[in-house]
Amino acid sequence: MTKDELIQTLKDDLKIKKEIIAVKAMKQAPSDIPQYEGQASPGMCAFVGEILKDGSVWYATKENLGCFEALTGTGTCENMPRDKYLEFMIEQNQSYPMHKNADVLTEYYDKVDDFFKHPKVDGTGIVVGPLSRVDDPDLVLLFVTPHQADILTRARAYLGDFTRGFAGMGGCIFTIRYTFHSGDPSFSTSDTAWRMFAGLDEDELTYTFPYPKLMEVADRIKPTAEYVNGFKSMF
Amino acid sequence: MNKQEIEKTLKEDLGIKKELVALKPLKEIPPDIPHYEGVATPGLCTQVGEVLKEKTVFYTTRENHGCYEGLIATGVCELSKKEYKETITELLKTYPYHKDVDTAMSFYDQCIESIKPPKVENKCLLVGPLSKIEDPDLVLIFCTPKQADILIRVQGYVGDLFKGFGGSGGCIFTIRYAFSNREPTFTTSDLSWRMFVGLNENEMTVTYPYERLVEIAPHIKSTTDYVNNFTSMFDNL
Repeated sequence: MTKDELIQTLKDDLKIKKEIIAVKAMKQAPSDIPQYEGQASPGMCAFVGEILKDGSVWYATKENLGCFEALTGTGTCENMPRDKYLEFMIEQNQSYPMHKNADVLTEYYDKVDDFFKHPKVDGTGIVVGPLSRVDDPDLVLLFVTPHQADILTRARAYLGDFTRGFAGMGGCIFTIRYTFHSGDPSFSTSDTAWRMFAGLDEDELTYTFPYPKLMEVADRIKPTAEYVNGFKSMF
Repeated sequence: MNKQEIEKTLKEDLGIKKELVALKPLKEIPPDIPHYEGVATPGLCTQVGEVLKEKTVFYTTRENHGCYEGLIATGVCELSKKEYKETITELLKTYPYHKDVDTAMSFYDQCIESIKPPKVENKCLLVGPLSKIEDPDLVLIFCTPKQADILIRVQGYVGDLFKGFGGSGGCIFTIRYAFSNREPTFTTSDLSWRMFVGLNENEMTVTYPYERLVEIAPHIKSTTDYVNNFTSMFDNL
């Protein structure tokens, strides 16, 4: 299946309404894609929200994103030293109450970093845009209803895999870092910031696929969607 | 917060529309609660669907189930790998949810490895609306992704990550993980669970061990208010 056919089956058969977003970690700045101008705030979520609205393709580096989770999650930016990171998050927690107190916050990020490993840093930035306009992407972000997510999960289960999901505080940890590092597709309700700035509807969640894994199930999407949508009539 | 107050905050503050369903495995058959009549097909998903419609309470045993996953998940019964293979071989002829028997068994092994079945130490499973079950063990919440995010945000507030699963075999994901690990979980479940419970396209299942729901319940209202007002804090939205 070609990329165009993949997009077609996702839109026509699975009936995904929002643009399909691709993410590609770059080892150097691309010559044919402009660098994002300014800084998306808080970060990747606002960046994705902008692309969903205007269909643009950008290259973004640390200078372009207020929050670096998507970059550290794709090996395109170094982590802050742990104490500086926690200091920053504790400060954020005072403006946007995410955790009960600083101790709970520290304990939370210990759990996060224990479970969600960071990839090795070997890139300079990320290209983000509609799947149709990004060649050989690493990740594909699908904004889907639970029903559509179930169809994708069923297509994966047909080939023998079950799908994990994660959520908490820090959307890109779940929507980007886990899948980029592990190579496993995953779904997530993400977090409030990701939902709000990316512009998700109340009934949407984010399903992230490594591009090759999405291609593996691509030709199962149409028959699975038809089977699932016709299931009621069997009873 | 007591059970009534928990139910109130879930329905009124979080805006959960469907009935909250409670599950409680019991070591003895209860003398005062009716035994489910007949065989629910496929299994617990159908029974939960009935509870949502009729608000009944019953206890259920292996004889009442076509599929045993809901009972396996709560330590009421078990199925050997050989029995499982025989069942799946038959099922795949009608419902092609895995490519072939070998794929189905590999999926089964992965699930067993990642989501351990509990020890069998119960005689039956009590199923009913949360309001009608004392000291429930698990609570099933049918909600939108946004409502799930609010619950997950509360869990993050007290320091916890939230894990979920999806695949074929709804009760493995909606029940077994939460029951065995005493951790809340979220899932898009599977086709049968969605169909027979009666979930709409926008709903997913969040399962809470009751004691964990008691812990976070006091934060549901304030978190819902915060999330619903979040947009107004930013002028770029």
